[in-house]
Amino acid sequence: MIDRFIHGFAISVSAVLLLTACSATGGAAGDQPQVRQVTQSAHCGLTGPGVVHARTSAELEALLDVGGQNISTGVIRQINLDQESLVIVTLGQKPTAGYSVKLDSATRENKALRLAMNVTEPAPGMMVAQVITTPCVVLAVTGEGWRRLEISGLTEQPILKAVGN
Amino acid sequence: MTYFLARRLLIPGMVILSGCGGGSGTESPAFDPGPLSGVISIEAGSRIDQDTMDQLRFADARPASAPQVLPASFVLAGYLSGASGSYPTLEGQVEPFIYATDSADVYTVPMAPGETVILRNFGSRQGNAQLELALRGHGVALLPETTTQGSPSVSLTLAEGAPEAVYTVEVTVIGSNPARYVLMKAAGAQLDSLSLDWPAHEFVPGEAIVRLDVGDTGAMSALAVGMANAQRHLGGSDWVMRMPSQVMSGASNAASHSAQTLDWISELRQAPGVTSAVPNYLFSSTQQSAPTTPADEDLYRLQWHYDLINGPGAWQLAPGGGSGIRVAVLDSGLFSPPDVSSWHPDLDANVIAGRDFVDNDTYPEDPGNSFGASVFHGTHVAGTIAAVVNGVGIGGVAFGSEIVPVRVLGEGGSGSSDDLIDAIRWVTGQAPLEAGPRADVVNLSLGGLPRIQSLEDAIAFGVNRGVIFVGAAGNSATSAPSYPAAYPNVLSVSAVDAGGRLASYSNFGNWIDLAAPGGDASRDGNNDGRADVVWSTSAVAGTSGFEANYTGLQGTSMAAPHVSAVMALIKEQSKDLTYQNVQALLADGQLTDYSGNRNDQLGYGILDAAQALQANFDLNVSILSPSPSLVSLSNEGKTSETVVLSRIGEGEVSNVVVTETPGWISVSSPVPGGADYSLTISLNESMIEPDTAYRGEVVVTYDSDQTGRMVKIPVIAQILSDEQARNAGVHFVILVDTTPDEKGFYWAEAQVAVEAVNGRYEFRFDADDGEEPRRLNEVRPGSYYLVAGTDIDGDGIICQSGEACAEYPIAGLREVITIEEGQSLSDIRMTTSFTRPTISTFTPDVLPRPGFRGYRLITQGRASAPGDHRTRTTQ
Repeated sequence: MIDRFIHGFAISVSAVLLLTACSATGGAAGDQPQVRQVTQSAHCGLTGPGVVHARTSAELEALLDVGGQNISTGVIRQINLDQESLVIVTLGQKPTAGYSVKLDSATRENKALRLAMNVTEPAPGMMVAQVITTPCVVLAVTGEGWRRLEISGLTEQPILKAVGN
Repeated sequence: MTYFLARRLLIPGMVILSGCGGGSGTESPAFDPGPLSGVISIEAGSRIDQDTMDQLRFADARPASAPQVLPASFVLAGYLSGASGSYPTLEGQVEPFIYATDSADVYTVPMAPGETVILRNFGSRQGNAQLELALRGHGVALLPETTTQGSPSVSLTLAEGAPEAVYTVEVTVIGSNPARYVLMKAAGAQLDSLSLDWPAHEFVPGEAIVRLDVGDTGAMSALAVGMANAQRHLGGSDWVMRMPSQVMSGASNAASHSAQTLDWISELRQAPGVTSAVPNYLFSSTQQSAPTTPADEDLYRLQWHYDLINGPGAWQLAPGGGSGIRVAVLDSGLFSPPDVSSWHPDLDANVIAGRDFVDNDTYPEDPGNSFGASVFHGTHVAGTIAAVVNGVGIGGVAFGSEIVPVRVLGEGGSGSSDDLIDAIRWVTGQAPLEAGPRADVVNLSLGGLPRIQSLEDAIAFGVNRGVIFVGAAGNSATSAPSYPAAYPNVLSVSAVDAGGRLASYSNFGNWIDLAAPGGDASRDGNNDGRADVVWSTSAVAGTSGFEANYTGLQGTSMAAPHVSAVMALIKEQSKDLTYQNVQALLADGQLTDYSGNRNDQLGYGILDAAQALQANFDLNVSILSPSPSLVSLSNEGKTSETVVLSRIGEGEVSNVVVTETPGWISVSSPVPGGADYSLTISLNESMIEPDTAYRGEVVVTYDSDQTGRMVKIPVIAQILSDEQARNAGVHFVILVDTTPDEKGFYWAEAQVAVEAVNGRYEFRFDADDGEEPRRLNEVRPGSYYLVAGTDIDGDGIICQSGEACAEYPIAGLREVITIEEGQSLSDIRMTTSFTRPTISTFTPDVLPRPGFRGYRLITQGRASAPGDHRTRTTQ
């Protein structure tokens, strides 16, 4: 019913989405990152657009302890951080419902892990719930060797984030 | 005051740390503030473990042997490690950072029945370690709780009936890895938001509930050999087991008996064939009067928005809570728990048949969101209107009214105007044609549509049938009309915070009719220490699907249902109330706090439910309405407050008497003044424990209209006494470059270490004198970020989770400091805290900080250029 009002691209609401894994290309053989989408949320409590990388349980708990969030914490806590790390991409605070972000593709080039995001927003004139939301998507990433995250699709210029000490 | 590390240090990298004044160990002259100096305040209640790595890194240092005394309310950061060792080497690091053994920290904590201590384990760079939290003393021995990687927080609650006394709280580490932790105890709201675990209960001494492994047929006989006696079969593989008498031997009193029981249960858990063993907990019922209004519900203390609209006054006038009135909620549907055909348990009793125009059926369930968690918008809106008063959760403003759920918003919270038009026609009985409308009030917490004639016509049909439509003005912070709220036949509601100011996001304009609380998470308008969000029914993703819960949201969506609910309360008294009547009452200032001057932000003012009900009464009923409706007292704020009991109505009010008051406040007798009364509530500081939040209510009874009436004034109070005692541990103050290098790392320019004196830190940097070697506290002209924090686990990084952190001017919102040649910045002020405001829905200006692991301290021997002893610092 709502698909015809979605601006930009058609939402494919499917559990298959949760199981999708993107194999990044372009990196050294044997350590290519695998990126899978764990869950999305309309209200993850992160109020600024950007990306968060969590590699330890302490970092993860800090993210899951944000007030006012509504996110599937159970499925996130099931992730073995010894094998995967978490990347949370957030749209920041939005004025209404109807916004979402999901993973479109993942590629690897040298030390950079490039994540292309697909952002949905209400079309002009669409009827939406008048509640402040903070949409985000939670990704699980395997593989070593990448030192920088490049997130495209959120802002005009890709968001670049160095990872690690 | 500087912190001068005069003693020999265990860690070579830390040897060169020196205090202000070039390591002289003397106080800096007051007249020479240096190029940069200032003060770091400490968040209230902050305490530091007495034997963190700040102390243990010294040669010959030993873990503390005596308990550390803590106040009644605190947030303490601590360090433990089961063994000594060194942390993994960081890139560019020359000397290793080592950690020392400290296997247990013991504290004494004043505790009262029902109070809770919470332990949060943050692990360390060395890996995860388990921590165990124990509480004992005065005949109480709670079964210790152990953190796990999946559940890093545990808590222990002192059972009702236990004596109020000073107890021993012990944190111990399991395994050899070091761990940072935070231990906290606070009253009221702080712990309300951190209630992560079930509280501990009293249990039957000598008994346990044991579940046996169904596949282990010999388990029972194995236990029978001196370990446990089966007392009663509970069904399946669950048994009540009795501790054998020989195990109990030597127990001289109830306390030792309880301790032995816990030891025995711990052994049972290790026994072959035992799947689980838990104490046989005691439950008791507490007799309370039946809840009658939303003020009697558990979460009322969070609902500032009910006080703001004068809800308690309204419920005196409308004790039925809108009984017999139907409110249609045109929204995303309602949460229905999995596998049952009922609604959110705090709504279910008030929900009647509705319709789903998204799925075109008769079960308007909000399925959540199949690609993630939604906010259960319709459930939240419906709760504000008509959540049931049942002693659980919340009550709606019109708690006796009926909800007609109508789903017009699909997953993601979006919908079509076609569905909305169909839904309105269905609700008003236009199509299919009915003799009357299906609802008396229609709430429209949706918007964004252009002006559509057919939609306007559908609304007009309903208005002509006496239906009142209420719409959310929209969240775009614009004056552009948002439909359907902006239609002339719809009450358009803007949103205000707890201080009555227009919310930062709220629309405004000449089409606004009135304002109501919608919250603003960026503000704390009533200074209650909490962000101004509206609390109501919701659902959250659990292990087996969504589960009912309560949450705080913000938006004009939250403001509109307050108005809809009050319309229901009025309609209960005057069923024939029309939209035209409402507009006339608004313009006459009878529904709001109207000052006589309409404005584009709040329209005719902020909704006043008591005023509105009085305005509409056919009978001349008079009540007293308190202002303020909630009194907050503290030694750092107001210690007394005068409450005006305004008479609403023209009738006589008499016999105004204070009948109930908590012992920790004094209340003057009500004094008449014109038609109103006033009384003063004063704090008895000697009657309350410092740093403990108190909450109670003053009950005033009076007579009016030959009826005995009552008004309750909630009072909260706290004495903050720890300013001088606050201590967040040794702080390293660092100046870092504002731009990272090509690898994303920030470089530190200078560093000083300070310790808390009289509850705060003072720091000062020196100007670079050009001499080699350059000292760590010497700073050159340039632009920097100024940060400070603790390194309680000694891994060379400050501001990690579980460590204190301050950033100038506000943590999470760094701003550049520019130091110029010959000039002095001498009044820098920051605040340090164990909490992290950097990622919070309550601080919308703050951006996430990906990859942040703390700031690396400067260590000796790392030079990027001759004479430069700097090392890299991560962002």
